[in-house]
Amino acid sequence: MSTANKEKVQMDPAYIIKLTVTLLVTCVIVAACLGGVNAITAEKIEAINKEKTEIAMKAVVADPDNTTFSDKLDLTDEMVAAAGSVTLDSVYEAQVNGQSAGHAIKVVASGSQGKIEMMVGVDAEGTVTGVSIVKNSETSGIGSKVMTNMPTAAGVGVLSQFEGKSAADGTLTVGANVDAISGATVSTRGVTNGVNAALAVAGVLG
Amino acid sequence: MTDYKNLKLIATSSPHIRGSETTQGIMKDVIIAMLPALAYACFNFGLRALTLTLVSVAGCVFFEWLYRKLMKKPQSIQDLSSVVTGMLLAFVSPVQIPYWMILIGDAFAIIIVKQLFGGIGKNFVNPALAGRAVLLASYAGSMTSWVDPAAGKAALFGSNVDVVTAATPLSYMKGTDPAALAESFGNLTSTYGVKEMFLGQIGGSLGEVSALMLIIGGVYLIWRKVINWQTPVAYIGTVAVLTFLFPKAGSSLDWMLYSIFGGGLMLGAFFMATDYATSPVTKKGQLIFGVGCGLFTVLIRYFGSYNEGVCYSIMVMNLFVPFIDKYTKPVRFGVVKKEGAAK
Amino acid sequence: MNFGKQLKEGLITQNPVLVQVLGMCSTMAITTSIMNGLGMGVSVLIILTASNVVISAIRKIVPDKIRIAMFIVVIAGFVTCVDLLLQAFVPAIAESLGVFIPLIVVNCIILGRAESFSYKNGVGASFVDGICQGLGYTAVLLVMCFIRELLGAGTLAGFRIIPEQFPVGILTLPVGGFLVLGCLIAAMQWALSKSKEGK
Repeated sequence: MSTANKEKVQMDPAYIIKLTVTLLVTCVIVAACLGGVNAITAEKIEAINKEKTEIAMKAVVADPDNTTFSDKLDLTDEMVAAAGSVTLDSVYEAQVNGQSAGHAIKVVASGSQGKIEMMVGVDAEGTVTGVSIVKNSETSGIGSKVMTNMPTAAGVGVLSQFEGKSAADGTLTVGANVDAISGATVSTRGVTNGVNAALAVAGVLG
Repeated sequence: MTDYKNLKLIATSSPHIRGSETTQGIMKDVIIAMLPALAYACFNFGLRALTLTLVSVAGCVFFEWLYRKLMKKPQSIQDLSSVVTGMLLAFVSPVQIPYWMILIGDAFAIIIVKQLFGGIGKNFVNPALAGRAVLLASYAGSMTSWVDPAAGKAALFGSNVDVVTAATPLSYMKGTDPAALAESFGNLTSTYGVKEMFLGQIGGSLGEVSALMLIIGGVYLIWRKVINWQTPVAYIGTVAVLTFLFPKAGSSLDWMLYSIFGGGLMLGAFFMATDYATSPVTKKGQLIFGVGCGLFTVLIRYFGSYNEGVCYSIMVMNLFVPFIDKYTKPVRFGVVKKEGAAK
Repeated sequence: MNFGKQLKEGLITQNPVLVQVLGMCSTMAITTSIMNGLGMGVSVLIILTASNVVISAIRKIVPDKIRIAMFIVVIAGFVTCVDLLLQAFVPAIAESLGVFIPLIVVNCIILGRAESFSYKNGVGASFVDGICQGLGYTAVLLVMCFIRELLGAGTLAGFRIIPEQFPVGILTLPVGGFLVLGCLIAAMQWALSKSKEGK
């Protein structure tokens, strides 16, 4: 196709229609293929994601074997506001024998290197039952010690120390009522902010 | 091929090098200038300071020899620059890090940073600082625990798990909460007086603790005309002014003195920021370079997540050197500023 | 075009990563473990081959003006398929590769090969080109993964080789990706110029 020729056909309405139709047909064919693949995989992916969340939630409740979880609760403005600067991701109700036994609250706090996605279990009395890290990008060798629940100078795992804390303890602060891992104060502070937010959200939930 | 053996550091028109001086002679002076600080480190931390430095020097020389041998290039270890790199890397490391660790730093500094870019004079950041940056990122735990000189000397052999660690003065000066910071700075001033800070009876990297010894070495280098006063004075001056004007706790004077005597500022200003290959060639450029280093150091110390900013600020400024050189280059005689001149 | 020549181009003389310097983003980001590298390499290999074949097959009916748009639609289709399949059947790899699978859509290797090769060559040659270039990419990923995982984390495919306190952790950080890739490109250029000299 020579350049002069190209310029001419560009003006031609028939050519423009041809372009449109070709692109449209391609898109339709590709979309149809994707629909097919999606139909095969959707159910499986759903199941896998559910299982993953379930494992993360089970890790933070007091009695993992007998606990079942509700679907995601709808987040209210009040809950999001309670979390403050920490992002509230999702809230699930934990049930033991059909009775409400607290909540599993997923929050995203800021660490020293990026976001820390964490699941916090809070029982019906508003006491923390467990903290687990879902995803993080903290510095390997320093911040990662917090993520893997290494013991602090006090000898308790840095994540385990939150168990038993409640809103009655006041705002949790590193250095005051939370011990940091030496060298990883910022990461510990991030996790502490996440727990504070989760407790505040649990307070709204009642 | 260039004869590296007799290569003088005069790849550019460095005004601070005399024609008769050889790289080897300059490096010898730098080594002599570092000896007081090394002697003090031995007194402060024990003989391990000496053995660690020797291992590091041996490592640097070996890697330089090895690379040159494997690449079939003329040997360059006679110029002693790798000895200086080895000493500097040991100086910026905690005294109790395992010997194998400093060898990894040596290998990185010499092979990747220095030789891959063409050897002496061609590296674009300071090899010792790059080696330290790699060690810090890789072994953060070991690289940030410091032997407490008051509690005993570091063991000559064995690992670093048993030493009594001390926080460096700078770690007391870090924080965002004013009340907590005021308290910890108060603790610092009551633990160490300004005299201890100046002499160096404090925790820290091997060669950085004694401001006095480093100043002696620095003055020697200036007297021998190996370095110009511009970079160190601009660097330390900038940090002094900024910390005096914006103290985060305590009195302005105290905060300033602890800021310039704590950490690696003296070592960095006299021995790292003046490295020929990675600093500007003109005196005006060196002033700008020093001010930039000081600015970044204070910014990192105040707002960064590390306690100490000397290492990174010098490396960052190293990267600016080509631009500084470009804009501070003296105009050649007879050249008219180009104004619409035909290109 | 014969298979041997294309294979040599894909692996060495026209290696997509080390010589054409394409697809840097994923190369740097995911090469922290052998399994990641393998997952990513195979994904790209499959997508590249499939899209090469399809684009070559439709090259006569694709109007010149909108060819890039058509390429992107085809490539995006294959990428999404692979993404969904990975999530469904190998969730562990899907999770560790994360956003880099969807980002294959804009991977320069695939668009580059579509534009420079399969749009101008027959289906058979394009198929072979996809495989060869994909193998070249995978090979570099595996070499980088090997270096970074072994020296940076002290493991190989998850098995500990070097005791935990020794590995040079910086290699697993993004800066380590730049360092290793830089050294590999330098070594490749050096080897290529050596072999040219020898001729």
